[in-house]
Amino acid sequence: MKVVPEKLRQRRSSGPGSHLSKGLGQSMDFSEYRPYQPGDDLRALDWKVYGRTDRLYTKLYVPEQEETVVFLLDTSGSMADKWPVLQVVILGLASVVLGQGDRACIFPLDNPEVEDKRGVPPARGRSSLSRISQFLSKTEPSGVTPLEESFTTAAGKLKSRCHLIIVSDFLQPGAGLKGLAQLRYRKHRLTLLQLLSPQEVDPKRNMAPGEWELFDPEHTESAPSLRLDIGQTSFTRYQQALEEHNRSLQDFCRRSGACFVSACTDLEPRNFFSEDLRKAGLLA
Amino acid sequence: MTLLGPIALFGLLLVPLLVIFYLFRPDPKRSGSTTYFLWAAAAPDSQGGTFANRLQNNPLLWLQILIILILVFFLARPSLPWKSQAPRSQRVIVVVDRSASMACGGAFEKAVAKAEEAGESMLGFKLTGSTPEVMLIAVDKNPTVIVPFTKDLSQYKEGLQQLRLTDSEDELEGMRPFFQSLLKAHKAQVWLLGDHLPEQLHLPGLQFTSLAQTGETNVGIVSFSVNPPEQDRGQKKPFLYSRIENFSKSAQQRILKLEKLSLDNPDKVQALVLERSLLLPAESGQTIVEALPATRFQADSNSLFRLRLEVVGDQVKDPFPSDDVAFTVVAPFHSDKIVVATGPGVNSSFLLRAIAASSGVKVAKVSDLLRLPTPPVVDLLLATSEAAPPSKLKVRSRFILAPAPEKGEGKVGKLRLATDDAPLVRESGVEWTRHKVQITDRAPLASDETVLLDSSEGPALTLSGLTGGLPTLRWRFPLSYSSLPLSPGLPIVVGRFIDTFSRAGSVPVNGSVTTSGELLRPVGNAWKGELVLEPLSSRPKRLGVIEQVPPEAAVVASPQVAGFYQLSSSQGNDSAPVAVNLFSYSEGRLPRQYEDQSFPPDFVAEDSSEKPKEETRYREIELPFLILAFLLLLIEAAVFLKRGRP
Repeated sequence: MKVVPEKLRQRRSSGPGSHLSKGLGQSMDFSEYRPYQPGDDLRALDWKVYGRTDRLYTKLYVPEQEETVVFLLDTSGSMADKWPVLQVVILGLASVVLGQGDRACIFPLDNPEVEDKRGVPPARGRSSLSRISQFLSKTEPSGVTPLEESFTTAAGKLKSRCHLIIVSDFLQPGAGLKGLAQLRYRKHRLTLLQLLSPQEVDPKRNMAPGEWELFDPEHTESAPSLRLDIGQTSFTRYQQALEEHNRSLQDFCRRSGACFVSACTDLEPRNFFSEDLRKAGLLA
Repeated sequence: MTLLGPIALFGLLLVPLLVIFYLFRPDPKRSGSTTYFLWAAAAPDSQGGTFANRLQNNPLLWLQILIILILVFFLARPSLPWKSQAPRSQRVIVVVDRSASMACGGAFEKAVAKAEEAGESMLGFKLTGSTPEVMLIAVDKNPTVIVPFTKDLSQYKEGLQQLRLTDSEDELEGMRPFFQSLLKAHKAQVWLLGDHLPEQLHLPGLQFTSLAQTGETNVGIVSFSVNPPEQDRGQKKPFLYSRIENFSKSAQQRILKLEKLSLDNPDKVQALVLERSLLLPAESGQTIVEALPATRFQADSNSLFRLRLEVVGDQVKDPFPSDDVAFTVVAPFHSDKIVVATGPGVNSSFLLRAIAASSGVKVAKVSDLLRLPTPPVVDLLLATSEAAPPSKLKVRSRFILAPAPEKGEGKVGKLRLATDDAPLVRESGVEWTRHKVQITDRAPLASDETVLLDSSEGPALTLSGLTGGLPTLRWRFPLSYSSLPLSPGLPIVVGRFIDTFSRAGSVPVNGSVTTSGELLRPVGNAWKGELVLEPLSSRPKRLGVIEQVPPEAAVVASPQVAGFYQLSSSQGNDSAPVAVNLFSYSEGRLPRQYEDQSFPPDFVAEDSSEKPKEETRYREIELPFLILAFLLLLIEAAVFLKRGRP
């Protein structure tokens, strides 16, 4: 299992990795034949083909390239009840990334409530997995994370191209799409991993029909509340609004070639990794 | 639209209660939601949540209010008034006068046109289920049937076309038997189209249409008065006196209306007192003396009356209408109330007041009557002493309450029931049996008989003076009092007892009679004994008992059940029945007409030639509202299920 690239293409990299780049690479993966040209490495000649055709062909191999996978984490208060699942998902994905020789790092989105704003710097090897685990363990989601501004900030900080796996519930008006567009403008590869609680997917689980006064828990108590007479119609409208919100995210991903995975926190981890992420094309 | 049950409108009070209930519902549950912005998008109209906003966007509330309104309206029994006419006879006999006098002024042509119009109105429009028939008769010296009863309009018109004027004079005066036979044999309406109506043909059921020349329709009121009843003459009701003259040379028909007007606003009619049809022969008059319902006149102030003569239908109006209306003012009077006055020291009991309240008897203190400028004549004065009443008060009869007996005197004996069958008094002026009291004219009384009853009309003592060994009891019991349907649930009998028999220990009381025969003071003997009213049933029960019997005593009791009652007198061991059959009504047997005495039915005009009365009926339209309420309830249930309100 490895994190597959979005497509094979030539990338600049600071070192060799498990990701293939088109050209004369050093990997063991054969790419194609090419007529011999002066200057080609004689070790790359295919002598068997020369014996059959009396022509010299040079074997081309896909060069291996190292990739940095950056986990952008939403640490706002709305992620508090999803944090245990998020830890499992991040650790699983990080172990895959590190296992295939890539570098992994964690970058928390802007949140004044979070103490460790640096996250985990890019590192290679199994040892960095423990640092990621420590960071996830000591972080307690709280406060507000303005997604759009955070993505804009991240776009400014991340100079080199990398694979950004953004883990959030994206439950903010606009879903931070403008910030995501800036990240995409920086040629980063994007994967949006949306985690929703069962109550957010189906509010009937914890809300009985009747009169409710709702408020945003990420804001202060003085924030305006919403008085609702919730019935079957309201639930239906909510589902439609959620679908519309997620559809805007999916449209963005389709236009920008990004990967979008939405999951509920009552997921089964085995199925999530073996089926959901595979179907989404994130894992091979 | 009329509401037959407007009291149900009080149900509208439920609406503010419902609104208050919605206003003061408990506060909603407060909860944080990470999907706050999604909820805001899901229900954009429900934001706010102020106190008054609870009523907004609440379809359940508005549906419930609507259901309450419709149900209240349904319970108020909405109904639409519609006029309905009493069913008329479907057979009409049209009688056309074709005598020579009808040639004057084109009266004959008018009669034919009227007859054709009548035929078309009857036969031209056949209502469902009705089969009208019309007969055409022409009269001059003799009646001739032109068209027998037919349902065919064309046949009827052909008959009309055959009608021609004749040179002979009519003899309508001698045709009374003919018209009577028409009315009785065919049970049909008879319409006479002619130029005059002789007095002999003033028959109920005969409708006359005058076709005399224009200008000959002058009818006027010559005199008019409304007079209070003169009780000295035995009159109990006020009466209308009027003289109506027909100055024209043809018979005229008018509607006579007597109306009571408001003194403050003479244009406002307070009551229609009398309405009747009037047929006036040519060049003659009619004197009308008509009793009026007394209940309309028992007022303490002056009454203004208007008498009007109205033309019937499309008749030519009176060319001199100034004498078609007359007015009169009637001073206040009290008609036929029996006035009972109580002197000093006499307290009117509850029962006496109950009688007074429900039977037209007026009970008043002497002092109160003396304050009136013209005190009414007192029919009965109850007093404790023999002192003469004040000269200002005219008293018809007087009753002196007996003095209290001394202690230890007198002994109450055992009562004895009346025998079952034999009359107690036979062949006398009064005959009464076990179950029946009847006044007969078999006078005079035998010397050994006992007079138990005398007429309420005559003086009290005219039948006294009997002597002999038997006790002479004089029972005065006016028939009008013998069974009094006074008020539901409180039947009361009252008897008046006069004793002239000298008993042991009795005190003779000398009465006096005025020259007019009125009783000024009772004559008889006050005695110590019992006068008992009891039911003639297996369970004797004393209802009214007088232990110290004055010469003239009254027993007042209120029987609880209908039945026969006996009044007995006893002294020592002697006991004798005085009267029986003091029949009382129970509530269920009260005549229905006693519930409404405001306008007696005898004032409905008896002339059947009048147009049938239109009466207003009401057709209830509750069903659509009930269906609407049911549909709204279904909508309410649907909204409830969809919204899922707990």
